Amino acid sequence: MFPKKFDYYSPKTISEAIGLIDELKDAKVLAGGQSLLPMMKLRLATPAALIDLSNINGELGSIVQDKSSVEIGAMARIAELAKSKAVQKSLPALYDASLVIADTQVRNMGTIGGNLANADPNNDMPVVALALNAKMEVRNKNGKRLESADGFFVGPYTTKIAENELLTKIIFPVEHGRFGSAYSRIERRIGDYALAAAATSIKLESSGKVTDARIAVAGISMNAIRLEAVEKALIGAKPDQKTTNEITLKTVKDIDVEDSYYATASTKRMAVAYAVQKSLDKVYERAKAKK
Amino acid sequence: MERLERFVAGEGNYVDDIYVEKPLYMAVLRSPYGRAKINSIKGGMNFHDIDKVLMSVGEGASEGRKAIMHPVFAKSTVNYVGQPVAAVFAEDPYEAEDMLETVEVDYEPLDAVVDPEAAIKAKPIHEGMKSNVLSDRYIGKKFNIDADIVLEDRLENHRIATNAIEPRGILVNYVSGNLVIYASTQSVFSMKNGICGTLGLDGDKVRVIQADTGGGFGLKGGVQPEYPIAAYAALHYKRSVKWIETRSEHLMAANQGRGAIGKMKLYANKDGRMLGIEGEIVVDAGAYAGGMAEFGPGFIAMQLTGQYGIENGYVHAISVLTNKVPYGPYRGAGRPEAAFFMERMVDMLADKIGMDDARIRLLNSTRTQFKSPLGLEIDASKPFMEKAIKKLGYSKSGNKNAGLSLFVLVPGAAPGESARIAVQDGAVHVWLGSNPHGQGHEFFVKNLLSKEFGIPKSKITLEVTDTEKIKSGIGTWGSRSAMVGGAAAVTVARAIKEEVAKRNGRYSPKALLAGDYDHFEFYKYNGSINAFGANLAFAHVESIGRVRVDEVRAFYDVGNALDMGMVKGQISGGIVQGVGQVAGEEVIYDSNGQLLTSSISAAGLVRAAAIPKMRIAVDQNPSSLPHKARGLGEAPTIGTPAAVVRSIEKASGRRIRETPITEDALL
Repeated sequence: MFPKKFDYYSPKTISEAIGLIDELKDAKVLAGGQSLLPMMKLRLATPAALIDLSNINGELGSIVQDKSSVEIGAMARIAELAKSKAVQKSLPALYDASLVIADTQVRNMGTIGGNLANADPNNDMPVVALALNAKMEVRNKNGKRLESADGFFVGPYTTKIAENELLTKIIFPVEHGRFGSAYSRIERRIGDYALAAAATSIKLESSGKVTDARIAVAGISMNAIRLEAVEKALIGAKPDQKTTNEITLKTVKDIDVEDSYYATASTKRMAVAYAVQKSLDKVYERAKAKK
Repeated sequence: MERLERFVAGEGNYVDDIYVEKPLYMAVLRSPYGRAKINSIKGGMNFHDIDKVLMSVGEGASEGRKAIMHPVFAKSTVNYVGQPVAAVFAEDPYEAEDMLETVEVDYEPLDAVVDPEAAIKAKPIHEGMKSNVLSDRYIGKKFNIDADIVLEDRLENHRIATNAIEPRGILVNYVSGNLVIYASTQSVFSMKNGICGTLGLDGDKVRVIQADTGGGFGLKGGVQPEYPIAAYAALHYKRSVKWIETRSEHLMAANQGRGAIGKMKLYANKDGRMLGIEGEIVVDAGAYAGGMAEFGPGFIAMQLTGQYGIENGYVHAISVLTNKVPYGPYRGAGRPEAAFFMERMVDMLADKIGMDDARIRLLNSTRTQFKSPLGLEIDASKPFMEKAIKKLGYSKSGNKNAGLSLFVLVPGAAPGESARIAVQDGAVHVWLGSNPHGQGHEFFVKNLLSKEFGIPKSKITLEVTDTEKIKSGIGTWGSRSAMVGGAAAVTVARAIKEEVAKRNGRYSPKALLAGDYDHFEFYKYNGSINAFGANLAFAHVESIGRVRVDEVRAFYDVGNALDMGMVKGQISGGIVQGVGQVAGEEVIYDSNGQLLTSSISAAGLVRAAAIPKMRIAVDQNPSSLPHKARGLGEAPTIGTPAAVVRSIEKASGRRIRETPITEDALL
């Protein structure tokens, strides 16, 4: 529980931070530290330097809403998302997640950017980003670019962010009309890692038919994935619970899942299907309530 | 300040809080392998410095055979992940951790033996042994009876990490050639005898004082390698040495409990009468002898008949060595396992013949004193059990998933306990051989002695247990403190009262407080005062196969309740543990002996949100002890798992054979 020696840097601006990332060897970016610091205490991570982003908060921690999007700085704390009217109103799935990640202490420190950049296979934010079709703003010393959530998660703990780059912002499109999104997680004990997690979003036409759907899950793969077969089955239908659940179960059956010490493959599949169902139930409620 | 005020005010003085100037911080290099040959070790303090095995102390101590006793430092082989191989010492804990990298160990990995049943026939993990079987006994007598029904099942309580909130810790102060040791411990005497016995130190040179101790649960009743290492280092460096266990170390290297399999065979008639039990109890001893493993399986077997008048019994009790951290006493230490195995079979019989759970239990309870074929002696159980079933509201609850369990608590009260009382300057100072680590001993001490002496509680202080202040004693485990610790306190108080009367013509509280008295006594006790208990649980299964426990009720015979607040506190805590054991607590190793549950979260501890509603009531049938008390501490850990499991069984319609219950068992 005693980390190895490391150098500590506290840049005041984004460009200063990017300069440090570029120049330092074996440095890690410190956001909320809720994953990195425990790893360092266990000496499973031994970076030579930490670049602490918390003093760039002004520039990195903001939540800004306009007509078509909500832009959230990478250093926005999970607890701040839970308090944001914009998140609650326009990004219900993100709001759901920000209430249930880990525990109060972790939510007060943990950040949305840190969660996404860490890309833990069972973490909460990657599925939310996928379901809400988010764009990640990534910067390096030559400029910035946007990465779509769909291509962002490359593998376990691996994203499109290169060694010399920084995730600075997450841009969530805001949908209008009969739209809903939701997040559900299955955990053995409150505050634990999710055994399974699902974020979903749907659009309905006035008849109640689904015109668009995104369903993302964690718990049965090495990173967050979309269940495209389930999405396809929903579009153009007025889905009922039973049919959706059957399709979900069928879809996850085809996914190659490994047994773990904490749950067998079949338990994980059941848990994912259950999380999808719980999430969709909420989504329908929310979308139908909209004019 | 009294302990409770200190704790509530955040002013507990745990071993890591105790300040000494410039201690050396110890870090331990631990085996990364479940089993490996050691070709060479260079650096740090290692077996070249201490080539000794642990002396075994504590509950179920066994006469060890050196070859399979736990070495202080691993010498030619390591046999579990986390086993101490070397230790390093530095001026701060960070540096100590860094220094671990200076130790070079050349390992040659070997195949680990992990599954206890497979281990019985597997190649021995220790050289010179014929097999991995550590102890092997038959208890009771072979029998041949005509029974209408014979039921067989294999039941298991998986291993659990003890996970006290305060991990282990020791501070060894070097004071001009002598050692003054502060420890997080259940017994300063176990600590002293264990360290002195292991290192061959003269007892006069070692003093052990209990630091405030944040939970023990059996683990802190004995000696483990880190303590003699720290003591040796203090003598070697002539400096104070501090070692505070991290949670990661705790999960891999602190003795674990449960880990028992019961292969049961129950003979009964179709009217519901149980005629006999046969069985095989297999305990996973872990890698070395010397703890509780030799005695554990027999202790489980002895208690199997519980509160029932079963006339025939024959049980094979085995403990077997595996490549895991050694098995040790944990919250009930064999008692919960026995109750679980038996109650599961009674439920199986009830289902088989379609008889109500309570009716079948009452039918088989005893109307008179009963000595079981396996060696358990109980009073007539029927009167208490009838009352308990009523008090728990079993039939009134209207809940068809009500899970009932009945049991008998066999306390570890032998060989008795010590007390010393000194009266000076108008105050009464008390030392007990058994020290508190969460049980609130001071409450029963104050209640008993204020009544006995006729003085206000504020005049009485329970002092910290310290081998300088009380010459001998045993410790706190096995539901023994209120029984024999309390009896010792009362006995010493009565001796002092006689002394007061002798000096003053008659006893008066005033005369007591005006004088100087100092008396010590070891209250010898080798009897068999048991306590009956019953639990009722209501649980349900969520749609994803997760267990949720809604309510647990308890009705226990505690004899004379010495302090009702503490009684209820003990019961609530034990119920939470029982819920944890059923709902998720487990230590898991892979087939190489690698520990998979390496965080407190993965070890499955219950969080506050999962604590069920509780309804607690007690019966107070006086015991034959001078203060009429009975044992209590372990009762809820014995009764809760069986009751919760029965409720889940009824709710899910699935036979439950193991704790913890996994989603897989229910989906």
